[in-house]
Amino acid sequence: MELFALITPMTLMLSTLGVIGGIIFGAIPGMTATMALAVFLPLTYALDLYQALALLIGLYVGGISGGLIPAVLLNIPGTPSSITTTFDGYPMTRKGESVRALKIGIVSSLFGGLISAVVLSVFAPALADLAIRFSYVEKFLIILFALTVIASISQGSMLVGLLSGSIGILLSLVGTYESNVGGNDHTRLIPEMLKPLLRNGFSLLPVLIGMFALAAIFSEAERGAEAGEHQKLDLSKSAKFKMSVFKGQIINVFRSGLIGTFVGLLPGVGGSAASVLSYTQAKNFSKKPENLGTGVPEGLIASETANNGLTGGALIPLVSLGIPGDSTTAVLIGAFTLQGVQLGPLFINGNPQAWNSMLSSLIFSNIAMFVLMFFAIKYFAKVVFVPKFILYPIIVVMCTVGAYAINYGIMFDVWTLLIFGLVAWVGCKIKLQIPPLLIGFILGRQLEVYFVKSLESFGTFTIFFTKSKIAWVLWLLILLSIAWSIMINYKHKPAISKNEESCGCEDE
Amino acid sequence: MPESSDFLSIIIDFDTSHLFFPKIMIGVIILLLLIIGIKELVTRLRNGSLKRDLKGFRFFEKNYNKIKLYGSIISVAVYFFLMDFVGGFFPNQGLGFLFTSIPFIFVMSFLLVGKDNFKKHRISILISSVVTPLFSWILFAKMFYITLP
Amino acid sequence: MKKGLIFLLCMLTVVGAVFAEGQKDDGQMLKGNLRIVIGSSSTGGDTYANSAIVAEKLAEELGMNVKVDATGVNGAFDALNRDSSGHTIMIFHDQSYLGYLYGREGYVNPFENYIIGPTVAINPGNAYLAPKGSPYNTIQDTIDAAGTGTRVRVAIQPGGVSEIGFSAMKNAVALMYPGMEDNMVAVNTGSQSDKNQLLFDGQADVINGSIQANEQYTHLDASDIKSMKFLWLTAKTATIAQANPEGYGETSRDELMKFVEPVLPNDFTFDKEFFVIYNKDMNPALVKYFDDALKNIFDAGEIQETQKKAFFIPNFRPSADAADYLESKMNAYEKIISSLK
Repeated sequence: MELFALITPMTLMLSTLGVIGGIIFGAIPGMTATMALAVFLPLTYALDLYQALALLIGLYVGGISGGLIPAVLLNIPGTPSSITTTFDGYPMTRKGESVRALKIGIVSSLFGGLISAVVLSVFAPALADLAIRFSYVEKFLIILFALTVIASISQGSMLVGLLSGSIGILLSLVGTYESNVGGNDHTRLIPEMLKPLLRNGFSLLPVLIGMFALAAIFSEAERGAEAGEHQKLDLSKSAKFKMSVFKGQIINVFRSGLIGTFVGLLPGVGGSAASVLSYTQAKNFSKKPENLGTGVPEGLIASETANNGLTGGALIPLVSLGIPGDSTTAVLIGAFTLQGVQLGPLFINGNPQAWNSMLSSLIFSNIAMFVLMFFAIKYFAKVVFVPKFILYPIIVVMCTVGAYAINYGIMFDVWTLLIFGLVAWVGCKIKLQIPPLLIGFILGRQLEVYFVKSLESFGTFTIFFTKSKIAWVLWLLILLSIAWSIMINYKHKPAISKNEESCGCEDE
Repeated sequence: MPESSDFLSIIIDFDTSHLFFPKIMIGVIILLLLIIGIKELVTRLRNGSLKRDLKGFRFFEKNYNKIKLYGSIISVAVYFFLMDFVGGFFPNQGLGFLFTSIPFIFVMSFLLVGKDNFKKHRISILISSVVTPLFSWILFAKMFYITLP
Repeated sequence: MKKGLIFLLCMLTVVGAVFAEGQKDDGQMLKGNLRIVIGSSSTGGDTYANSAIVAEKLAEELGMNVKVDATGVNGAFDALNRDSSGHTIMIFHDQSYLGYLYGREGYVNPFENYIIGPTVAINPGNAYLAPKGSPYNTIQDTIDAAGTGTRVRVAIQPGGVSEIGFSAMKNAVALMYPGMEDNMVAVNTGSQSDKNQLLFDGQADVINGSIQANEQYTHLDASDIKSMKFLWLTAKTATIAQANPEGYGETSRDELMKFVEPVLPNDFTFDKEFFVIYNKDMNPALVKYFDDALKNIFDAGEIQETQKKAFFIPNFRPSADAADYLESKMNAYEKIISSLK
């Protein structure tokens, strides 16, 4: 087959190497697939294009997948898109099912990756034409749709959930309204004297890991950092992973994989929206929606399938419009530039070899990721048993490296870690809900840009309803999703109010 | 149709557009705070539990561990501060990170494990406080050329 | 406990000795790691690509580790302000003074607050495009249309490199059709993808783009909603003339030349030039040190091949020449920008 003709031992080796590197970056809280690619990019100058692609795509797949390890084991999302993985992954760990959860996550990632690879190879040009029908208005609605997750993950009071989400959105707006996304480069919400520090706002990753990791460490310290119940469990006695867990989840797998791919192909909408959106839908379609968030495979599958589905999706605008689908694929453009290969609408037909090597690297990387991670799980899972007094300082140091490196060496990002660690720790005490706040924070800036730009160019609020048929469909989905969440919330009120005390960032 | 679109029409000046959405969000937050506040107040007044709930609110956990809590917050802050400060003497070498992480891990582990248990675990703490920073520094700063403080 | 502390100290000494100031003293002015911060936060953009090419050569020439960090404008200037030792330098392009001219927050006059280092390359790609079916075939057409009362909407990212060509168009309308310049309207947006999208949506008549990002769109069939045509390349004729004869993609150099230097009343051209920026207090001997290093690199002739392969035009000028040249360039653009205020 032509597709695999370009596979050489060298490309296989580079793919595998990439996947390993990617997993390491993904697994360290605060380090992302984007960073992994940026770090390895200079190495590719010495390689030819196909080898460079093998390495970089391996890093991409590994980086996206590695995020599930700390999400499941430590309740710290390794990458922003694994935030929803913590919702069900970590509760499973606390039940002593960490190995099972990791295996489910890995298999889901493989499915997601393969689904998106198939979609990419067959529909890339057609989907690119679909993608350009999403203007500011439709993208605003997609983000709004993803935000409906706030209604469905609110624990206890939905009003407080909405409040937390709104605070998250407001916090994300701090800093410059950047001109590279369409803003006017003025700053807002910061006092004059803090301008030099806060001009760029709070960076997503430090905020995320600050709120998950540091806050958890502080509240553990408050409680004396005793060994947790689940650290004493005997893993060999807990539920075993069986493929049968995917029985009845086939629709979930395909839905989530396709949602991931679809979100990936919309330039600018970004990776985190994919898993968030797919998690909401898993909850909406679930037979037992009240169980999601308590440690059921369903939620984990939705999240992990979607975030690997993203990979193929984000490559679609890259190869058919010359535009990156997310920040990671933006680095890939750099590799093409330096190799003197041009991306754009003529790329696929003009460079069939490069195109094929991208596809085969994507498929092979997913398989390599699966094999490597599946057999390494035994060792990863031991992390759970490391005593807290050893583990926590290490986590702080790793988060520090990640935070400092995320914008290539900005000290304020490290302070952000501490600030938001404290914000989440205090927030918990006054009953703010941390997951909705974070989701607001993650999606806030895009919500703003698409909303304000739509109004700026059309001058009327009616545009959100009259722009296109796509807009109508999205409105319908948004309304259904909200109605559904309210209904679920209402129906299962007693079951949920039991958990009212837990607020997402706490450990035990 | 024309009337309704006039009512809903809006002109956003590009030069002030950075304030448009933050204002909306502040409005939404105030509105939600009011609704939640009134709702909570009404339920409390109705069942007469206002006083008790106010008194009963406790910020810290019962018998919270002051030393561990404040100790870890302060040691993280000091760590961040010193890292940047020390790093200034060795531009772009990442040595600020290396030299401050070692005592930080040691101090933080010591805090968390507590004085009484420290003896039992001192070897593993010592190993972790030297090996972790050293390993990450070699891996990130030396192999991957990631800029560290 | 004591044993542990001794062990710890030993480890530190060993590490310090092995890695800290690693090399022997052999007359190098700088040792250790050189960090190049860039004014872009993207590792996929032209600033990064150009800096990476320079960094690779500098690493060989200076015998140092050289790392390019995509910190973005503010992060880059902050990092530069903090380190005057020469271990941190910046590479950026005309945006550094255009941002100041357009009055953007966070920009200062680079000629007063920093030392301007050598120029290294030009990205000749800055372009203005319209849909293939558009009535406008040249930039003159858009000026005439605006001058005779038609609104011409141009999608740009305001406040810098993307706006300067638009300012020139507006200025040209003002010069040829006084009072009509307000018909040339900026549609403010962000990335290339956003600009393209506005064109596809019919929300803009002309967009700012680049040869690199948009050339393939110009080969699409006119019936394709995505098809575009070049109206104008802002680079100088002399700049494009240095490109490889194959041009870029499927457009040869001769074809590209057709869109260069239309007769505008203000004789405007814009070459996006990359240059080095140093901390104001950096040792002047280091300025010469870097100048010499780059001169050696360009004399060797290899870097030019790499630059051309990535569609950059090599353009080395030592620090002092570069500062004079760029300052007079800034003054010329200042006239155009202030005439529109």
